[in-house]
Amino acid sequence: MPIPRDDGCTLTGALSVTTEIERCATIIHGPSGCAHHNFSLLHALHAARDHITTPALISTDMSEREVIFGGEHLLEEAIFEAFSRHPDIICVLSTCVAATIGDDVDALCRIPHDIPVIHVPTGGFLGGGFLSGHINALQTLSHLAKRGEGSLSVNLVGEKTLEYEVQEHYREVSRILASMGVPVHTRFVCGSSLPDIQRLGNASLNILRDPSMVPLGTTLDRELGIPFVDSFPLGMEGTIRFMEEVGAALSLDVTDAIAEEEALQREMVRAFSSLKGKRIRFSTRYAEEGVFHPGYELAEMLDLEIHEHGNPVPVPDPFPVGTHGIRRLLNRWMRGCHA
Amino acid sequence: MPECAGPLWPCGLTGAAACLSGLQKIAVVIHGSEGCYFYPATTLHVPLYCTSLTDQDIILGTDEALIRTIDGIGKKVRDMYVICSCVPSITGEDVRATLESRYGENAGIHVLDSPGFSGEYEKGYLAALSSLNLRESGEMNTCINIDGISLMDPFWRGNLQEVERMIRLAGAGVGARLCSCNAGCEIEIAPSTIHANPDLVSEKGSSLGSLLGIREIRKTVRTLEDRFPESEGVLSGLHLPEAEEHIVAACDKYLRRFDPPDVVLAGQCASMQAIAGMLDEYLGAGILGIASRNVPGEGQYPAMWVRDYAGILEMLEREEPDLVLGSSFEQTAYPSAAWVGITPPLRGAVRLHARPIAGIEGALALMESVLNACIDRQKVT
Repeated sequence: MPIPRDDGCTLTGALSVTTEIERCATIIHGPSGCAHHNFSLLHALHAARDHITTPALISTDMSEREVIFGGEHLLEEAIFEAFSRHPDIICVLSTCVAATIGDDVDALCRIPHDIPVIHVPTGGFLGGGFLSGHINALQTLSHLAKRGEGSLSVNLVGEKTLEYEVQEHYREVSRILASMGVPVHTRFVCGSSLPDIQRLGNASLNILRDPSMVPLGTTLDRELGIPFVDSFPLGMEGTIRFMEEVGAALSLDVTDAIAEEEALQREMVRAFSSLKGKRIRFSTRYAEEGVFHPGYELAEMLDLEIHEHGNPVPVPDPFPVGTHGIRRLLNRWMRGCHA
Repeated sequence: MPECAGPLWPCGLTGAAACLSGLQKIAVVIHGSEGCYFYPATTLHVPLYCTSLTDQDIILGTDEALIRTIDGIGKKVRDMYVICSCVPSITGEDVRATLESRYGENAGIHVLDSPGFSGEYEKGYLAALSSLNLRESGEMNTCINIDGISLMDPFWRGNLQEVERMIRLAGAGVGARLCSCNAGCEIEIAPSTIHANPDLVSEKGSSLGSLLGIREIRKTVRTLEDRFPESEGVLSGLHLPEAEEHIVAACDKYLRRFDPPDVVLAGQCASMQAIAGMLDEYLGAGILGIASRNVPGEGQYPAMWVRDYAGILEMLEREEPDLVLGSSFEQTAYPSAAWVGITPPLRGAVRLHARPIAGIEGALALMESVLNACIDRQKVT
């Protein structure tokens, strides 16, 4: 495909994790352009989410000289500079350029330090795409966690930190969990600190953001003995199924919570009854990719006709989380039908 | 210290892509990783292509990825530009030879080396521009080219419209629009050029001057009207004095209640010098300094090269300006000052209309934003 995916490279994926950790300094070993791209994109997303801070990134600012003679000395100096800022943890990410010229980033990170200095294996295209970087960073950080006592709580694992609605999705999954009496222990890693990550093993269940995180879920199950549910709640039936799975995994009776959620869903469907009988159509792209099923479920529930000349309505990927996510989506469908 | 804490400015690859992707008959192929593609694709808002290189390509050669990409684009466009990113430049493959042997010499596929490690945005932009075949045309003697248009610039559409308007008011036609036009890599140009951005001067056609800042506009309009006397000085006799009158009145009204602001400007150096001159002349602003994104040239006001967020933070905390003109990085770094966004990136705000910063309307828009930002800050403090 001459037009590639629109989610960036391994580096961006890893940065979406490391820049979320409190008091973490991230070093990008490569030309300043690679760091600028990501610094600017992360700044944009932070601004869109009303964050007033900028990501703590340090570039080793490789130039032609280092491409010829090697750039490990720059990385050493950057680690030294990062220490002077007194972070709790330093994450070192390499770029295509560092990987191509063969700088030994791992060796520099293995030198004993007072705080964890972690090499996240990235390398632009040399390490894969965005998702690989995202998972690699989480896998690497998960080694900091220890087995715990397993209190009645859950970790949220692999949230898509660059997602515009990431906080709304978090609030919704927290609401659903709270309705079952289950608190969130750690968000791995949205806004978490090093001690939060180290205590990851104290939860009883990991809830993965989506099935792409299953390799990580499997690792955490093996290393920390915590089983997982493979996705946040998606769709009407999916939300109820999610509650059943969490209840089963934690040996909880969630009958009342499910009844309340179903009542909320019925109320929501009534609120959008003016959509009844409208003709809608989904984007072909989604239909081809087979990620439209919750959309069909909604259309059926609201008695909408799917027609090739219908009003275009969005079916976002990833699909909004939980019942309140569907409500926000239906507001957009209303606009699509009335515009 | 060589490191750069939060680099503020894009690399040469993005500069080259910003220049070439403004030419609608050119398909721009980023020969590199998806990461190198992702940033220009999301900031330029035009279709770009990418060879999406993987580790396998580096081991076995990138020819196959390149050919697969070019074949995928097919004959949708007249010309194609392959911009080589860092890694193909390091591995040193002969991309030109590969393309020539596969597609022949006259296939309209051009190669530009623009690795990010070799320089910054302006260098890449200007290298791409000078690689184009710009030929002076005798049929364009009554026209003026516009240069300094870059899709990276949040004001490019507004600037283009405003400079075109002024050229037409001066009685001339619009020549080549560098670079936003329906052209391939061969472009006919007029003998003279006006600059919408003094940091991206093409050196193609004789320069009539820049249109950024009233002082420069005045000089350029004079040159323009000498060249096209039949316009009877409508710009210098009517439009420019009228705009100045508005600016003077608004600034005077502001100064009746408030002291002139002390200002830090952050952006491309020559552009910031021109804008600083306008703030100094009309508002009596104290220019504390210019944090230049590119290598600073000569100018009336003190300028230093500030490449990273740590540097801008340090400068702003040291200077304690009342007003900052720059990007949303500066807005975030020093929120207690009044802020006007004039430098990319401008994040966290909805921007829809074609707002200029160059030309007469650009000067008015800028002074309007400056005064409103200063007044709003006074309300808060």
